[in-house]
Amino acid sequence: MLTETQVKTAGWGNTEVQALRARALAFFEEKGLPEVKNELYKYSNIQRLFTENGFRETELKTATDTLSLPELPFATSGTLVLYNGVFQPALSVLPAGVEVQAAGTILNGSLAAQTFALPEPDAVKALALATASEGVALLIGENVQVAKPLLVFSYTDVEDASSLASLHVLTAGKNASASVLMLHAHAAEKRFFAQQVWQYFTAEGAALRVYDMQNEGPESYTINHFSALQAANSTFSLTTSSTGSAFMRNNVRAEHAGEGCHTELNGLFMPSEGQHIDNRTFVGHMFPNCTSDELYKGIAAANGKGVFNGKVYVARDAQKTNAYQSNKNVLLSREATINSKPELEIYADDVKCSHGSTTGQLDEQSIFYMQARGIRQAEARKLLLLAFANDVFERIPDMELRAFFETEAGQRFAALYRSR
Amino acid sequence: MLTIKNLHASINGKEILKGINLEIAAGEVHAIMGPNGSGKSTLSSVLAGKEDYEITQGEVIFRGKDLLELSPEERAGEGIFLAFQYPVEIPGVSMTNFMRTAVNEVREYRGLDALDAKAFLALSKEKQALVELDKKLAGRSVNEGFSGGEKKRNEIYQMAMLNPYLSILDETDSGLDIDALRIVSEGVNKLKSAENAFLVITHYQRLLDYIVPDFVHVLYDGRIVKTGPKELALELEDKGYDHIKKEVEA
Ligand SMILES: Nc1ncnc2c1ncn2[C@@H]1O[C@H](COP(=O)(O)OP(=O)(O)OP(=O)(O)O)[C@@H](O)[C@H]1O
Ligand SMILES: [Mg+2]
Repeated sequence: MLTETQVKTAGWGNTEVQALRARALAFFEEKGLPEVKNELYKYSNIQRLFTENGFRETELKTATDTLSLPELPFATSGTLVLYNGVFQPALSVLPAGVEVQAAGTILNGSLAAQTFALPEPDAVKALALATASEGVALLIGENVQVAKPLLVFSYTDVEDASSLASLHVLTAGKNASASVLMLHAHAAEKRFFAQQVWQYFTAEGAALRVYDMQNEGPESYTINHFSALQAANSTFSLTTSSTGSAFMRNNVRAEHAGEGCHTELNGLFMPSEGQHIDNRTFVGHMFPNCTSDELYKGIAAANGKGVFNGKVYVARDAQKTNAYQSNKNVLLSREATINSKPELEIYADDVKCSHGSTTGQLDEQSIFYMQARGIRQAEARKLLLLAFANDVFERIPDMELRAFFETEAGQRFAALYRSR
Repeated sequence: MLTIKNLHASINGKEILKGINLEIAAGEVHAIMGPNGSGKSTLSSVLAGKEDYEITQGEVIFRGKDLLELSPEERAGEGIFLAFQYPVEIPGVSMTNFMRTAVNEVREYRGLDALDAKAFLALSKEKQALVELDKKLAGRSVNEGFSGGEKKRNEIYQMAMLNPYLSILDETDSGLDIDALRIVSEGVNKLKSAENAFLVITHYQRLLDYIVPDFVHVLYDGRIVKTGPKELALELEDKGYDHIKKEVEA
């Protein structure tokens, strides 16, 4: 299905990286795509995905000069454009203090080892690592404060049934602070299987907030690998809003490499007709005095399928850990399903950890109450869904971004009831 | 304004309303009294359009329209308002957002332009003052954590905002302290006009001292078994329902 040629041809002059990629390929070739009995992909049938869609390597276009960029209702600090995973310098504008290089230029030694590590036997990630084209290294300088979000726009423009992958690195320098908004779009009517690997390094005291608006069309079959390695006293947060794609899997991993770290993972996932949205998270508390807070909310409509599988790991030395995890779901139809599997694995004794998971339905009494006040049923349901989703939005400190995500969700909720 | 003819309604196959007949004209106040479980709230829910009930017989005409054909929101648009016996808490939906949506949905139904934020605020202030509703409640989620009395005032505030033709007050007096009862009743009386009507469900004469009914009906076992002038309420308070039950069963 995938040949070694791509490993050799997709950029990457760095020989250290070449060796790591070859290792990843060997791993993938040994394991193959995961079967459903594989715990990591228990609810996502990757093998069937490939056989049904016939995804394969194709020749990828790597440059464009005719891309129209999304128009946003607020100012950004800059734009970084990726086309089939490849950086487009002519279309990109970067804020002061932020630099772009080819990913391979900074991936040496421990950074390379960390980026290409497979802490879990995940052959899907191995495939992504082995076949990824060389993406960007976004370097946010020490003490740099990027006030407005930096837009990362990635556009997929491939032959039907193409499989592609790209790997990107983002480092936030000491005491830097920045937020990144990721938006996606693609050519119409061409199915594709895309994997994006994003490796984040937050240096001491840095604060990085990443927002991913996952609202692509039904041609998209996407697996994201978001991994953060946090130095002492750094903050990493990731917020995903998943309304699009036929298949979406977010592999999220945050690990602490020093004391005083804070990790926040927020997700709103809304699978509807024919959609499958799977979130797998791992928070690794390896050092004392760190906190993590995780909130995933699922709303499944029609025959939509959602998954939340979150693991919080607290190492023996990670005393005074505060770790919270919550997954709440609403099912809007009988055919909708959400599988929730929260996991705590704790080896330290002086910790505060909690996790919880609930799945319910919209409250019919509330709907009738609103209708009795003249509010149309569809509007009443939309208000209740926005109320349900609200605590995810409340975790977005930037009010413009918050409104942006809220509007997107509101449109999705309105569309749910229009189509009936 | 409202004509109910031989209305039968069941829930889960159990008949609750067993042939209700009632005629309410504009400008009138009707009181319904009756023992617990006799079907008073069921009647108000059926009129407001709650779908849990199956209407097995009868008809309801409201201002020339077949009410039973309409969805709850259409009924609200036509001018039916139900002040709930147990107002529902809706966490996460702010009172302001809820009320503004409701007012503008009803206005749209009635062919009126939406109120802008300023006009809405002015109207809202005026109606809050009418029932002396604490302004702070507007910033909270609908009914969430409201005291029993606050919930009931909030119902009447909503009624005032939506300007209905027929208001059904289901035990609005329960949960109100003596002062609040007077305030809320005075608010209702100010809203009374020759164009609108009220159906007041209560267990106590006290409320009817303030909101004086033109007719008092006794609902028992799913039927209106007795109708009389306002003095009937006094008589019931005095004697209870036993003699009526006996009459019916005889
Ligand atoms: N979902 C239901 N399933 C079965 N019976 C029901 C249901 N809802 C209501 N009932 C029954 O219908 C009857 C009438 O109830 P309703 O609430 O209309 O009484 P009410 O006259 O308003 O009483 P109260 O004075 O206590 O408020 C009661 O016997 C009640 O138990
Ligand atoms: Mg009742």
